[in-house]
Amino acid sequence: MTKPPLFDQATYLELSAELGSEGTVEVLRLFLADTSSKMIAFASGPYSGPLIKHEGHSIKSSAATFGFSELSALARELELRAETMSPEVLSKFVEALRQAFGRVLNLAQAQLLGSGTEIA
Amino acid sequence: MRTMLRNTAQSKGRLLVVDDDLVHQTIIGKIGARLGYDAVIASTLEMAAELLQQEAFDIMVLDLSLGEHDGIELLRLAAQRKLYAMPIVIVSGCDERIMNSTRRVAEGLNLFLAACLTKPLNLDSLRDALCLPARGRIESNRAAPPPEVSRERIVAALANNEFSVEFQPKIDLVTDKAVGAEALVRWWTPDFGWLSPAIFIPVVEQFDLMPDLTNQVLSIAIASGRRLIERHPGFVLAVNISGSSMNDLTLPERIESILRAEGVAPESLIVEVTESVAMSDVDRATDILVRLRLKGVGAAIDDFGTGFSSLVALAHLPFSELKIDKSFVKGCETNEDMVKIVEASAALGKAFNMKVVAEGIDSPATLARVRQAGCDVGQGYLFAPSLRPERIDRWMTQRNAEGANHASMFEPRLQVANRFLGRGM
Repeated sequence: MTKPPLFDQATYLELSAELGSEGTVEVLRLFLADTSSKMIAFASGPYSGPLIKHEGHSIKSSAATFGFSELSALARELELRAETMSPEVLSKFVEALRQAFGRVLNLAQAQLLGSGTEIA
Repeated sequence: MRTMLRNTAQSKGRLLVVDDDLVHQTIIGKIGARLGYDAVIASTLEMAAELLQQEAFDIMVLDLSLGEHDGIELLRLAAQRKLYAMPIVIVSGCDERIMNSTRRVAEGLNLFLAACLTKPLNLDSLRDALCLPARGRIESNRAAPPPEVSRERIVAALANNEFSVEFQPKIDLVTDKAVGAEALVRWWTPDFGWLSPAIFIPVVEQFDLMPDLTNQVLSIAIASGRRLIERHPGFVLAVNISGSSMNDLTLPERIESILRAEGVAPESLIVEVTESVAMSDVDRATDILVRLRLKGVGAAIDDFGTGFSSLVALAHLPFSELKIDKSFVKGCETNEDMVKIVEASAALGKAFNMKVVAEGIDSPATLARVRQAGCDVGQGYLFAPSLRPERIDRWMTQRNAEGANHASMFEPRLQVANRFLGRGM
């Protein structure tokens, strides 16, 4: 299966056309801050399947709204399979999600928010 | 709770956004504000419930997943508060089956479901849904309570021959010709006007007058249908048999006697029995249906799939026709769950060597889908509503003379059909 792209710019532009560029940046900052908190929470404790499923559900939809396709696809996998994965596999998936979010964060800071912009 | 004031000079009203996801609630609130709504955002079920108790909203966008709670609880609360006119837009990242079931819950609660949108949201669809006006139909429908019908009034109606029948045509889906019709009871009175069967049938049942009405309807239907049977070779007349009539072991003989008196062949009649009626006393139903079949009369299982014993009824009773209930057929082309039921029902019918009829065909798209599913016969407003006896003969002659491609010629005459919100006996 082909790996989804990190970023689908057309989706982001659609959102931008609807909310205006300022409005979109405002919501994007919320997303990045909110997802950062979730990643920190993942890192801090033993993985809980139901919690990761719930967060995966949320990240899946929000990431797709901005066009962050790779992150959305990984979150979807977690939502579908988190409760049945072994702790080792779950740990690998969460790490892959964290790395994908790191790439999103870099891209957002470099291209969408402007350099030096704080996330939240 | 957060608020987002409208970005426009003119207010479109108040929008309640119920979503525990920070990003989505903000996007929905912002789009609402750009459309002219003053948006109020609730992140939890409790917060939303409190807002609905205390304040008025013109529209609500509701996420189905609300942390430990779910949106269904709020739908129930909206129904308890009688917020029937408030458009509700459901949003969810859940799969289509859950969305479809949610739609049915909302319809069952009589709520105004403006749209069901999956996340990630299609922003155009969200905007369209937020632009819908509120409805007033629930209030207007409830303005006139149904008249109370007494036992004496029904007895008088039976004595005065006030009941009549109309015929809804059944169309062969291969030849596209009309091959029969279902007789539906009608009652017009000077005091009430046209009364829906949904109003008077339960009263007739309640006062144990159903066998009398069934007798009268059978006589009227067979007498009125005789001309159709004579003029249109192969025409089969369908008559509904009620639960109480199916308790009467003399029913086959009574039907035979009416057929003989009218000079109609038994093969030209089919009785329609719902599965719940058939299964309420399966031994009695088997006795009656076997004897009817031995006499040459057909038997259809009606509203197939709506009861709890569909498969048992199919396996035990000698039905020759299976009628898939309209609740599965209507709009099935856009609902994969319903298509699966229609296809499975059609396959079951075929496996039992039965003719399969799809009820409730209202659009060319539904017609195409039920044809694809393998149904033999169709019935619904796309072809015709129920027609008076003097009209159906002309209608059938015209249709069958003109050949194929009729479906598009006959516009759904919903206004006429909506006179009767319920079905006949």
